[in-house]
Amino acid sequence: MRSILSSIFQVINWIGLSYFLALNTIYLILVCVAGFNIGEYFRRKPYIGLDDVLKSPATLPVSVLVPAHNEEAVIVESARAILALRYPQFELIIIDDGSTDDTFERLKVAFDLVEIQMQVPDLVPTLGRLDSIHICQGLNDITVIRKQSVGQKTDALNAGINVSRYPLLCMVDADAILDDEALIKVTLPFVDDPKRVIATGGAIRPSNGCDVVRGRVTKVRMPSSWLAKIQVIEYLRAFLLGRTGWSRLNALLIISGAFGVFKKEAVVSVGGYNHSSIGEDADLVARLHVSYITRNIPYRIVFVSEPVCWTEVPEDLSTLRKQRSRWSRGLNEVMWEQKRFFFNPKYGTLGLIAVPYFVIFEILGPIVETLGILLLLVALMLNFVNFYFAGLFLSVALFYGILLSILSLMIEEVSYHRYDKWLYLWDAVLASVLENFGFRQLHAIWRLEGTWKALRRADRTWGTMTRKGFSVQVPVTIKSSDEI
Amino acid sequence: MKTALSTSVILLSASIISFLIATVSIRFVRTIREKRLVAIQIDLRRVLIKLVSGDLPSATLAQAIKFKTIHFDELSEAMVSKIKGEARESLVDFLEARGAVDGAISRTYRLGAMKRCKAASFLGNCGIKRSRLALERLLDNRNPEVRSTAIRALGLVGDPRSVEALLTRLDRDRKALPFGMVLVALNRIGSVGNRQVRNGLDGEGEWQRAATVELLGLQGVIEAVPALVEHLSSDLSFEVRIRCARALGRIGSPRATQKLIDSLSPEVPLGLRVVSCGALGLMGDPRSVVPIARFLNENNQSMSRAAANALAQIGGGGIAALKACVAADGFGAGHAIEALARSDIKENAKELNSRKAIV
Repeated sequence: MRSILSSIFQVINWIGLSYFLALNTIYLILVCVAGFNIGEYFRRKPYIGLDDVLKSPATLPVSVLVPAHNEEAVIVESARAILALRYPQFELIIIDDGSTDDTFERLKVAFDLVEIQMQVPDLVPTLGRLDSIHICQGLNDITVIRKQSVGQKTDALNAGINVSRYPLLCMVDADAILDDEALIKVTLPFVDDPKRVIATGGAIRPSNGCDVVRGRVTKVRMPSSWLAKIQVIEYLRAFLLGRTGWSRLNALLIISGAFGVFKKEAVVSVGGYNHSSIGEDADLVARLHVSYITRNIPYRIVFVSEPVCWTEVPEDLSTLRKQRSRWSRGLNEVMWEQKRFFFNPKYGTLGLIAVPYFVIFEILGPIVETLGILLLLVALMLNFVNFYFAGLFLSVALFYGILLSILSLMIEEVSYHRYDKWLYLWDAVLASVLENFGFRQLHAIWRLEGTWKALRRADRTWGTMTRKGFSVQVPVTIKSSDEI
Repeated sequence: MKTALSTSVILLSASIISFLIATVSIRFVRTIREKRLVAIQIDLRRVLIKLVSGDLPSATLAQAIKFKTIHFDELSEAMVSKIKGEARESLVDFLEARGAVDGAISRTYRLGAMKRCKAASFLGNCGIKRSRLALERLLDNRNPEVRSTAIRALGLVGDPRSVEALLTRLDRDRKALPFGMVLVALNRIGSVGNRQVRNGLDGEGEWQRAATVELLGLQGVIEAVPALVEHLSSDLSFEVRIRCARALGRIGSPRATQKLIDSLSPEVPLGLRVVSCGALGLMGDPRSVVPIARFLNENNQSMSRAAANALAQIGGGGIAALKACVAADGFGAGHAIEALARSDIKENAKELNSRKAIV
């Protein structure tokens, strides 16, 4: 009996080991591809010609959509910062999604808003009633939509799409801080390849700890809390390098809801955002892929690593848990919706590599990781542990993880070099190591929770995050929540 | 098992350590290099500023021409894109005397794509016409950045003979030039290239004709109106027809009014009707008020909205038509109200702004 159990454990162990080896190797390949891509980008950078894009009559005007729900702390400064972006022609549309605080009143005073009557076309479906539409009496091209909230960001975005006037749509979170040239850089692929590019996404980085002046990050600093520091590394590895890698393989599945640009025509053709999806950003991109592949229209969805959108990341475990669980649930639902992709050669790299990777490693990953921890405990109790094997497992799971983080850090150092102080570099190295002890395991459990909620089809609630605001005239550091 | 474990631990630890060392070394080298560069450039910049302001004694100038250092070349080449007028001319003369222009032309043959980019960019910034052929050759380069840099450089050089080279390369299946960049370059070349640009209307390529049309509109080439009117109704490409309507709106010649009004008819594809409506609004010809007002109550939201906006832009009779639509409370009343409101707010804002400026 004991020998049978021991053999079963051995088989499971080997499967687990191969799984982690495959996962980390795929990530290593992605990071290397991204590193190559970023290197190429930096060599090209002086010759990109942003000024030409600014002057080009072929640069398409953009409607910037900012959904806001109880964002009184940041909304005015955020709107001012967006209006000051370098871009030849754009309108700002803020969708006040049933705010119960002073979000609208602050906007009204700041931009001298006046209500206008407007016949809004039904380009994409909306659920909440549109209460009123206001425009600025000055020369700022700003429109504020007041609507009844149905508790879904997608509904606010769809309302904004219906009101928008321009051919490109840029979705930005109300608390997001964009770099001065973020909009122009993220729309550059539309100028270079106007026929095929249908969507682009920019890089997201944590703003915690940074100096923010008039809605712009003026000095990049490492956050003070370790949880945020770990997320800096995580965003660098997964969101910057991971997505750059997928984009290079033309298999980008996620454009962050915090900062992305879409061709309006493409978004309208797939019916806008899906109200029933909790991972609305991934869902939209997946439906765009399906739509274009099915209609046999050549297209490109591009991730641009340089324009940076800074966003506040959770600094307490409870908020982080809700966020990650929601993300995981969103991904699960999107993958289930788009199961036709799975190992389907019709969808090319997307069907044969990207989607299988997301299903096998992103969705099943937390299950395997949690089971692995449980099995280890059982094996320890039954005295089945082969210490050499455990060591091998640990080296593959942990050392490989650290290796990936350090490699990402090295690419950041060679290319963007955003964290310029030696102290920040040491912090980042330490966070790369610490991430693997506790955070990663917790993250697996949170993701598992998301999978479970997706299976149960539990209530769709949005997590709340308290904004600290960045309405300052002089440099002020956004403090971590435990400092306040 | 024991060997596998020790091998993997050693391999992974070694990799982590080497990456760590590499990261730290990169940081270290970068810090030292930056400091050194700043120190070197302070003196060189001083010499260059004296040179462009004409304060450098001739003996020192002769010495500077022979002075060979990478930093000096880099700094002077970077400076040429930042200054204008006489100062720029003296710097370009100085660089010519140093052989920098010839050097850059020969560097366009280099193997490294970025070296070719750098050379093309420098030639463009110097604006020397004899570099045209070298730059045109780079339009066929296999590297997209080299091609883009060459386009920009040709625009800066401003030789009308490059117009054809730029336009004909827009429709290639492979190595096609980016449309937006070509437009900017051609726009930079300006009216001196108008004759060459107009030839593009007879081109076979769709994007070639589209760029030509767009450019004629941007530069307000009134002589091109008959040809544009012709292409508006008969061009095989929908893209070109749409751009024709837009260009005619920008030029604003009343000779195009009737053709644009004809393009509003329901048999014409919707996109072209909407753009023609916008063009008529931009032209502001009162003759178009009645034909546009007919579409205010059209079931299609885009058309109805475009008609309302065009009427608001025309003003006078257009505003009266919008008010009549509001009074009749038809399908387009909502768009008419919005257009009236926007027009009123815009006028008010302009007035307030001019008052502020006077104060």
